[in-house]
Amino acid sequence: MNSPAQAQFKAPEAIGKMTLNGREVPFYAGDSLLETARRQGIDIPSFCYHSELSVYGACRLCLVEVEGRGLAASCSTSPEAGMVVRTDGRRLRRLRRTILELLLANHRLDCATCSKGAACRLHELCQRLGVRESTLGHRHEDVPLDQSGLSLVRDPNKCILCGDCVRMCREVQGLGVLDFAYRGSRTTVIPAFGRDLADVDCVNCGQCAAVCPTAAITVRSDVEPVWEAIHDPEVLVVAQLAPAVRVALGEIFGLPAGEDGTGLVVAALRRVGFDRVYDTVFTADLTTVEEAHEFQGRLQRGGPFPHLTSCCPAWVKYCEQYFPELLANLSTCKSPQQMLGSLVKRLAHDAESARVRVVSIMPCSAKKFEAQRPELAGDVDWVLSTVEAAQLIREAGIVFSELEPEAADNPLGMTTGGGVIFGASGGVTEAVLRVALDAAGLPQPPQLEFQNLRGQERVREAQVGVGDTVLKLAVVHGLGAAGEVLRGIREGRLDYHLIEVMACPGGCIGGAGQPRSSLGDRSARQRGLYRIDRSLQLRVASHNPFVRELYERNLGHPGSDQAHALLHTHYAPRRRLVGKDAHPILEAPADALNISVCVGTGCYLRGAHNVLEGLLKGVREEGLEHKVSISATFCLENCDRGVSVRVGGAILTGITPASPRELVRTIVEPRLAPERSPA
Amino acid sequence: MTQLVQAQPLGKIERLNQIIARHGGKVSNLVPILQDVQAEYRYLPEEAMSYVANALDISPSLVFGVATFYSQFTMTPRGRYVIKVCDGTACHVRGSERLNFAIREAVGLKPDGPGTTPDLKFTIERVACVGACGLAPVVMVNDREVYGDLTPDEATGLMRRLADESGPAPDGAAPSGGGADEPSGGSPMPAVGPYIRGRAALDRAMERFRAAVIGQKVRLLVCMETACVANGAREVYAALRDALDARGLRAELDILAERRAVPSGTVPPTISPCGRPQPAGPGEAGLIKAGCHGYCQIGPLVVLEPGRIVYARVRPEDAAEIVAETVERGQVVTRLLHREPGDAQPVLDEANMAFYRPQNKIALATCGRLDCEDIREYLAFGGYAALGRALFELTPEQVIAEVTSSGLRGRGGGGFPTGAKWAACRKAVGSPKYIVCNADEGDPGAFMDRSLLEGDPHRVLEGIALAGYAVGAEEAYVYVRAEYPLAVRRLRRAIKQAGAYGLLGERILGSDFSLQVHIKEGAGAFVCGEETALLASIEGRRGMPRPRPPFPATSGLWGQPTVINNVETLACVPFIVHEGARAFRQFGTEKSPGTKTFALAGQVARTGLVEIAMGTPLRQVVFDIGGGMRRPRPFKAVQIGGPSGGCLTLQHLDLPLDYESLKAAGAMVGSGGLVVVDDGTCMVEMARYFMNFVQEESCGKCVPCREGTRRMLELLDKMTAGKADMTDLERLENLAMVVADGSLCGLGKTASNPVATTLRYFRDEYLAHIRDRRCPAGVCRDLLDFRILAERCNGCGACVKVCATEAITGERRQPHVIDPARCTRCGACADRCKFEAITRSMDDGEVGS
Repeated sequence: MNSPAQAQFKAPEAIGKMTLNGREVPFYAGDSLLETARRQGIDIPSFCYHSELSVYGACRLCLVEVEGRGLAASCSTSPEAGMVVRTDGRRLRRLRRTILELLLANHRLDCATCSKGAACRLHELCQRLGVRESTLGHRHEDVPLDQSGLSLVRDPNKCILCGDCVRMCREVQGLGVLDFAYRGSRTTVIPAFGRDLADVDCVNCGQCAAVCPTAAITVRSDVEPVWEAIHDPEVLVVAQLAPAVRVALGEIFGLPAGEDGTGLVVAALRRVGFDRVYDTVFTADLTTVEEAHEFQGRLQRGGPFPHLTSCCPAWVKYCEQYFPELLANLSTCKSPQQMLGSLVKRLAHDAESARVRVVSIMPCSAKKFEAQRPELAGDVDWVLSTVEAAQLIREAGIVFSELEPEAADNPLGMTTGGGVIFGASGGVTEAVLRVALDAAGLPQPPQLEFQNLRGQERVREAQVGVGDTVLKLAVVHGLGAAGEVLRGIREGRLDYHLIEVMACPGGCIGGAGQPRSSLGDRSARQRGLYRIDRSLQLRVASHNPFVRELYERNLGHPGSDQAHALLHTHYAPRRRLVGKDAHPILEAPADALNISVCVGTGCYLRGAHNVLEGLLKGVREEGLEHKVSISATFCLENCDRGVSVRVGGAILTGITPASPRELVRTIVEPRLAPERSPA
Repeated sequence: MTQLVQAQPLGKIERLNQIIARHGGKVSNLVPILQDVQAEYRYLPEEAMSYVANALDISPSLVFGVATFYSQFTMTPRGRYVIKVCDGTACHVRGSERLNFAIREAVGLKPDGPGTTPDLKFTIERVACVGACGLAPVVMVNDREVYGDLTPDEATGLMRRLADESGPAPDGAAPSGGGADEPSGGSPMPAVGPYIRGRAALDRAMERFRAAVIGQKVRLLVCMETACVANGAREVYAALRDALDARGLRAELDILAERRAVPSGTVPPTISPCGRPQPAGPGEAGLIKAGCHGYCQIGPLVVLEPGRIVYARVRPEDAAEIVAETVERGQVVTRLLHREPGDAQPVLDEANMAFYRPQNKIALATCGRLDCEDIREYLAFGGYAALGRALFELTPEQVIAEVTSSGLRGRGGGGFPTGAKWAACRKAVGSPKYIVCNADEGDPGAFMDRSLLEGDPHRVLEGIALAGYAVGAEEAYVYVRAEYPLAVRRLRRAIKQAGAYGLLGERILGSDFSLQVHIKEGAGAFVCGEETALLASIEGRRGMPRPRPPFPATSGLWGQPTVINNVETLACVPFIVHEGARAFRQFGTEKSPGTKTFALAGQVARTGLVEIAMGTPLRQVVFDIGGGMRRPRPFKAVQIGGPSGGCLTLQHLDLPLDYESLKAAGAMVGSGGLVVVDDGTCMVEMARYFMNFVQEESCGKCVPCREGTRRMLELLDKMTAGKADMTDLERLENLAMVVADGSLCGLGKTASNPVATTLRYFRDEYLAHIRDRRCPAGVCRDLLDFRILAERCNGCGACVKVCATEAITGERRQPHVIDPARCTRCGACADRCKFEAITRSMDDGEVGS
């Protein structure tokens, strides 16, 4: 096969030979001993080795015996010519078993009821290495779970401190929401100041959960309320199936990664008891049409550029927190999940909307958060991950392998290839381009495939001519890479017409709701989506007949007022830390005018502390100490327009450092209650 | 005019901004920024940490992670008096635990409760080691005052005094590293020194100051090192200064240098320690703030030169007599001389003192002989001559060759050949390169590096400069642990002086070589002594080690080639470069050439800092230098090398102290802590003590160290509590092997050593605890049974007074009894009883108090 995903794997070049377990084997540039062994079919056990993260070297399971050197961690040791290595032996076996016993001793052992089930790596390795008992002690105290988030649950009692989540969040997502705190046996992985996940800058992408070998971080389960709805005869339960789910859910039932399971999943969901099974690809098509229209409008109006895609909810929250000045660039299109929810509740089943419940099956943890955003709430009732959907199917006793494929319900089950490839990074851009070229009557690329938008690189760039305009496009996955690109935009180093951002590696196919995946699995899923695309008769989203019918019957045309009311949304800057953070500076009686100066990063860099100091000086000079109280606060959520100052109930933005007198005149005086003359 | 309701907090925001600005807003300065923030608030409020994260544009979790990693930082407000009760090895074996209980009780805190009193007056903390082991047990108050040799009663008295003190809070916002002020009036140092350019100018400067030193008819070397200061050296210095100044006797180096100017071309004699003090006229008596003389136990020490005459336990009241007799008349004040216990005759000078005689000094050559705060004195003693030689006579390769052929090995514990390390770094591709001086001397029971930094900082700086020249570095960092504020202050001053004299900084001595030296203060993490953890800490991160390779010599600080050497290693380098490798090799053994400093402490008659040739037998250290046991009890063991080391026993008394021999015995040189114990020390409890230390100090990264040491401690706890069985012993042995085999860094790899060696040499004691539920040394509380022997008890009631739980009752002048139900087995009664009427052991009378 000659797919683009494979093309990047260059044939490795052997650079020397070493002896591994008595056999002479080649080794390759850049490989560690652990990787060398894996190429030879020897899976050295490990927790903290992760091919896509930095070497950490902490679990010590991957130790091997190097002749002349003693024990060495194979993850962090490079092979050398003539090196003689053994991956097993009495000493190593004792070491590995004891390490596992030590981890078990500090792990809450409720394996029978643990949500991780057989996917737990600790469980797997204990089985593999024949650990039959744990005699080295037990946990001293149970720590409460962090269930504050809508997407993720943290269970510190299960954490083995491998640090995979910490490195994923920092290195790939560029966030650092989680970090190690304390030290020694008190070490823990925790958000800043021991806060709950919901109170910090977590964007719910769930990649921490995706790499967690145990159940220390898991995607929140919403299976129970869904069962309740299904079992309630009064309720019309509607399922929608996201593009990336169809190439991954089957893995849980033994299908190879990437195999098209659309029909089987639809059949299974019907048997589970869903009254309707719709396809999110339909609204992906609709999103494509709306977003292509929005983008064309910007091309005509000359901006704002870059146009930023908005279908990834983790990315949207990230942008709200870190790049509030670019919110105007974010497409106002709702994500396909929310569009489908809106269509179901407000159009297709509007007459019976009170008894309709929409359940999304998503590859994603952040979709759970998205569905509860106040401006979107109500359209989608529950979001289940791919893994949770499989749980429903299993619990219902459905033998997946014996199902026959079925088609989704129309009209919201009609799909084109353009919507299908939304599930892979680059797909949204490709789908939009197909529509744009089609609308302009321009020729499509061979087989309608934009090869340079496909692949696994974190940032991919392409230039595409549409008529006279050459569009500069960027496709980014991983928020760390997104941050880099956006800083480039902010600093004027980079410019694009359109940037597609997906938070998860490879796009939605690598989402946290999917079964645990390797880079190879993700490539297979990606190829699977492209195969489905190619197999479909219609591949341009705007050709979807039911999308056309929707416009003809209900919405008029893309970008119409009706379309806006139903299919578009808005964004707002968002503070990173929730909670108490005001520093009282000048305290005055309770009835005084409260003034808070924002000293969050954005405002800090714009000279917030000069404003603060000037203001205080001015208040003193004017003798207003008893009428005004002043505090510093961290974020007033107007980061794009700082320095922000809250005066009484109003928020003033764009305050610049000025003279004390001037600050008092502009900020304080207009809002001070006029002196009451004595009666 | 209206009164401002509260304006203070703005000061704090302003201060936060100032602090961040002062540290350049750099993420790598996160630790010092947090240190300064804590100095401001006395703890780290969450809002302040958020503010810092914001200003540095880093994630708050990173700030929180760093703040919770280092034990210096606290998230809750601390008391006005922060009392750190040292629990170093020496203090531990001399009863720091009882001291801790007494102190907590005195301020009304429960033994295991919170550390801060509700009125925020006191915070009581345990600290790994303040490095004043010669005075064990010690406590440190507000990171400045050290009180040594404390009994529980004295400690209680101290707490009462502090509690009664009123007036302004003594905390001041003492910035980190701010030790107490020295008495002023030492020789004033010119703010800008005569910038020395060229070899000849250096030689002239050295000659000039040497002549001035020789011109002093008598030099009063007042030891101003932590231990002597704790004993009152500051007051002694001030009294001597006043007494000398009253008569205009005090010498000023520059004036003396003018007066004693030597015609150029003639070489003045070297400064000899021999001879006798001569009567001094006006301006001829030197009063010197000297570094550690080693024999901390008999301080405050005033040593007289010429002659190395030792005045011990000097009080401020003695100053007048010293000035009148010794300075003005050249007479020795006999009553101030030291008397060895049991000797009627006083000892006149070092040459006649058993403590000093067997020693050979290279690293400590001038420590205690010169003014540690005056670069001119170091120059007078030939300081910076090695640097001059290197810069003007030797290529960097030649310097490395000299160090290589000297056979110098790392004195921090590992024993890696220094020359090889330098050569690897010089060869490594990459620029800039860095020198890091590891002064994170965390081993409880070790204080060599502190003594060197406090007593002879320029020697260390010269070593750093030589290393920088050899490998081609232009920047150096000295990483000093947080518990050494005085060392930081002296070092800071020394760097400033050396810069003013052109001996550090841009174009040193007018050559092309430049070197900037920065100080990084640790924040309380033993693991930062591990080199990769130390680098992480300098970079402003949690001090967690990383796998090697790559080694720092190729990829160290910020990924650049970096040489990391311990303080003592660097202090040996000037000697090697100046005197040559051969001179260095005349000491020590073939594979371990040179000398090694040891901190001798514990139940030995003489404690202090010693420097001996490598390969000196243990017996000589314990019995000749140390003078044998302090109490009339038999020698049992020596714990060497701190928590990474092991114990040596009677059978090792003739073992030569060098890298190979110690390794073969299961111990290691470590940094050189040497704690002697007698049969009153329980080896199982001692293993438990070290295990407790390493598991507290484990960074928590790798599984074997984090989980393994925790479980080993649990097993040892079970043993000392008499609750273990034989399978626990098997588990302990298995874990000891796994932790040693599997751990990521040196801390973990050696964490089992104390357990492994005690298991090897004192297995019987383990078996006694497990099988017989008995502690042969009478230490493990749960295995003790305090009883009063009626035939010895005369009913004096002394024990009743010290019993905190009122467990002892009895009629006056009648034998008393102990109620076992109320007895907490603290042992205070047995300590107090003058008639040895109280036994500890389960089997009658076997172990007395």
